[in-house]
Amino acid sequence: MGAIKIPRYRYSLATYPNMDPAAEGQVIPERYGTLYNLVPICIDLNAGKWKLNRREIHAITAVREAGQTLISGSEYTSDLANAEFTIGVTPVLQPSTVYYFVLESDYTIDGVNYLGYGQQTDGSKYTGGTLYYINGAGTWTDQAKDLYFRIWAKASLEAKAFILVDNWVWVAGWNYKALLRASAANTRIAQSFKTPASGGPWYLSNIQVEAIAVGSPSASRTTRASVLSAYSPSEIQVGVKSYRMENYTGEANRAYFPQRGAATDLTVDIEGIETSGGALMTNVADIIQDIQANILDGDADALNAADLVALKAARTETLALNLDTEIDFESIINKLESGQLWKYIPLLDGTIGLKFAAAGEPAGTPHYRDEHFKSFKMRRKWSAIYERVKVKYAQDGGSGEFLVAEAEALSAKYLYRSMRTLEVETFLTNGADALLLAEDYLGTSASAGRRQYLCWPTVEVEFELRAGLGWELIPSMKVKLTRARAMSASGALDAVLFYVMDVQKDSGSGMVKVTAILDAMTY
Amino acid sequence: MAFEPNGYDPNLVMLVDIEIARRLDTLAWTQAAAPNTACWYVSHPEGEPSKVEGDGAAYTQNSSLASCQAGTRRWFYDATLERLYVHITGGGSPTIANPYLLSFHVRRLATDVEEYGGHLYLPILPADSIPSVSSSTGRFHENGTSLSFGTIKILNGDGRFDTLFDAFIWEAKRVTVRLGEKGKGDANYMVIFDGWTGDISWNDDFVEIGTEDLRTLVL
Repeated sequence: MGAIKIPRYRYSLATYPNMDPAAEGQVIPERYGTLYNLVPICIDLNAGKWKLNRREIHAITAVREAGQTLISGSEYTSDLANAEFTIGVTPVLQPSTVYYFVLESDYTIDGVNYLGYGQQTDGSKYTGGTLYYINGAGTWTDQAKDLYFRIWAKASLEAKAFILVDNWVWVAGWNYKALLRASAANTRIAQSFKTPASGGPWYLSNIQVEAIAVGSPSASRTTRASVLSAYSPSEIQVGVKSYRMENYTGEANRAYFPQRGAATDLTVDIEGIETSGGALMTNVADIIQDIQANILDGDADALNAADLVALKAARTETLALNLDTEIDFESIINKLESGQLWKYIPLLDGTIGLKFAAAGEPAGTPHYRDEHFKSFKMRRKWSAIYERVKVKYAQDGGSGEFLVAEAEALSAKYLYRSMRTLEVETFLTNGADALLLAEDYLGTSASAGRRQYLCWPTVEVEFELRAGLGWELIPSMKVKLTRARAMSASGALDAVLFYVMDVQKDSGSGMVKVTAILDAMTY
Repeated sequence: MAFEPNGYDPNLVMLVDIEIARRLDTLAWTQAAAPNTACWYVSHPEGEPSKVEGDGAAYTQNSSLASCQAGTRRWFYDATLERLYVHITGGGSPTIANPYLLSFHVRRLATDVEEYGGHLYLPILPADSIPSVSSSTGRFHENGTSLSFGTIKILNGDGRFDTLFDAFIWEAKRVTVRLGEKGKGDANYMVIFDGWTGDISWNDDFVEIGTEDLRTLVL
């Protein structure tokens, strides 16, 4: 099992020809549960499409760019079936081309409260374009004037911005009477401009204008700019709209455009892979089954059906797995096991068992007595004592940092002088679950069921059975032991249950050697 | 006479002192009679403790019940009645884990019949079971200081120790091992290991007590 690595699929230019070349060879993640601050991979640089998971996911709950949360629908669109989302790309301006930047806002059209932009009333002073008012019906009307503006652009996304087009010479004839939403006639306003004949293409960085607030247009308004390559017969937008202009200084003087390349600072929160019923998958049994069937492409029946049902009911904590780097399947199993106190064990019926300890004596538990033992040892393992357990949970998808829940057992410290700390890394998401796990490891939790009593010396037996006995044993089974002599309070064992940890079967001698721990220390 | 094994037939004896503990806060305590009602007692047949600890800190030994009554975190042992009195903070009866209360006494074991420091040692260690001691360190840039001692093997064919590991706490307790030649007096014995007990292994014939470097636990 150790050689099996997951996830098993990788990004390639053969599959995604327009993807970020730097992502070639990276694994396509398999993600379960609610995850935060994930970094998506750009699979289409032209279309601005990013991918989050190999398979369908339940939801994209937040997309942030440089810390700013984007609005679903208007600023990005989700394709959950493919675990992708699309956000527009940075507008790219071609040389010697006429474009139109459009200013729009969402405050109520009102003749008293509106924004007025700086303009030159002599339309002949700027020859590269003109000012338009756009009414509520989308009709553009040339105003024979020009906004004062600057187009800031970059030669590449990483380069420094410079002024590409400049109409910022404030001379006689200027005022702030390019009105936005003072009436239906100026529901939006636009200014055309022409790019230089040589150079380019250029990435649009920002558009600089100058506005004053007349009256009190809503302080919570959102004003944005967009760039069109044409407005008739229909408007053709180039790239994405700007960020909210009011987020920056001034009334609404700068329209910054998202700078989106392959390495764009995007983080995403998601709800990952779904159950067959369309719900978010968070249960350990469901996740194991899904990995088996849909990542490893294994036989779904390979997992013991009864154990799956039992594990699902017994271990109900909400999990989140961010499988975004190649890792041994066994490592994931180990982390799942230690995070919820169960075991993935091959059974003798050819299935994989999912076993957890529980009180009681299962039917058919073998009972071994003095005459059955060829040798018998007991141990009290002080070296297995821990004073403190730290459970790491809720790993951040971006930083990789965990939250930590911690419990301590004073008995370990005061009775056995142990100051050792056990650290357990888990896929748990909930602090209460993590704390309970820490307490269950120590045995200090209030309710029984999973307590491991690591605050005490582990009581362990190691015995060899006479030839022919014990061949049915596997780890996770229980055995009942009776012995006239033992290391115990009574000096004997009288039908005491032990939980089998290790079984060695020697076909040469026919003997079986078993190591088991006191069953009462396992639940 | 100092320890000077001549290498021919030194008749070496190993003496082992283990300061084991008994957990007291799980026992049923009886309140002392007036006016010493802040003191509570239990039967303590192990004799006078070498120390008493509550929540890991030593209590002060007192020479009378009255002086035990006079302050908290004190103890007094009545050798005549084999009673151990304690006065915990608050003056009430110790209850489970409030505080964790331990009394300590020393078990003295040897590979032969021997007396040391005025104490008789139980000759219950196999004569051929004296482990080697290894201690080493590296150059200053190499780290790597280590001290190791084997296990302490105790004869247990008669089951003498079967119940003792439940009755007392043997793990993580101070163990001192001395080596000397039989019959040459206390000065002949020298300490060859001072550390802690570790894991305990039991079978029908022997008990083996592991040992840990002094650095393993906080002194």
